[in-house]
Amino acid sequence: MKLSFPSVTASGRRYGLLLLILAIIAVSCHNTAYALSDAQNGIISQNCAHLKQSLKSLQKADSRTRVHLGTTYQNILLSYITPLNLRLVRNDQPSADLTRLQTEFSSARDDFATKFIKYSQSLEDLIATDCQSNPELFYTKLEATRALRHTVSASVAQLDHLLGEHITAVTKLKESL
Amino acid sequence: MTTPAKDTPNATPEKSPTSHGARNLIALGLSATAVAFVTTFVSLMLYHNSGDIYLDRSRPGFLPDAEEAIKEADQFRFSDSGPIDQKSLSEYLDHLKVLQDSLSELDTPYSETPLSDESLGIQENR
Repeated sequence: MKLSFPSVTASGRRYGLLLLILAIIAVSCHNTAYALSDAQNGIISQNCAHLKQSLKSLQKADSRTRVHLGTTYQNILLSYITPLNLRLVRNDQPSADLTRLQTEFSSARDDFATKFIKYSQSLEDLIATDCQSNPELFYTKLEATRALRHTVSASVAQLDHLLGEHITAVTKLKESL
Repeated sequence: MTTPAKDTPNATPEKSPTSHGARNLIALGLSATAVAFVTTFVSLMLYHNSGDIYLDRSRPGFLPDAEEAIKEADQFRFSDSGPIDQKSLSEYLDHLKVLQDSLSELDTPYSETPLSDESLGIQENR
């Protein structure tokens, strides 16, 4: 008995391939819930209101911290680093190190703002999640928010490091005069 | 003597010019309102999606306290013209270190502690 298979046209193959790609994307994008123990599930469900209140307080505290850090970094860049480099150029004493640090400090400041925005969006999404009926999804989003918070912390550390480098370079310049 | 319009067999009743104007005015008002809603919605969506909402402390609940207001006159600004000597660089470093100290006063900003299981009270008691 001869088995005959239906012939697949080129457009049919393309359509099937497209469906397969879309299915793979859909599966990979799906939020796989973090596996919690029953006890943790219960704790999150029962304390949902308290959890959300804590997260809202943290959101406001983070915003205050960002303003303080952001305005200070802005002040350092515009009132200190940039005018110093300009003055050095006007006195025919440009410093390659200080110029490099100015560029790095400026990009690190922009990076801090970008990372803070991503972290804030994640925190807001976390606060909006119903932790009473879906504690595992809540915990998954909490893990993601923790990771983003860590990136913000790292960018702050980078800025502090660059500031320290700048002070060291200016001190060296002062001692060479 | 003019013949009244109703006596003329093929005459069509004239519509009042004020009804056209009223209808057009209502349509203009509704269109303007619709355009205002759409543009407001789009601008709020852009404000939210761009992330500016998270950097904006003028929104309700996030307003700065009175003591947080920095007086412009009290801020030091290093001049971009003048000599490069020990005196000017010492002044520069003294003011900059004050700012560095104010940053150091923040105890590990954005640390992992506030979002930890212990801080949120979701740690499993064993």
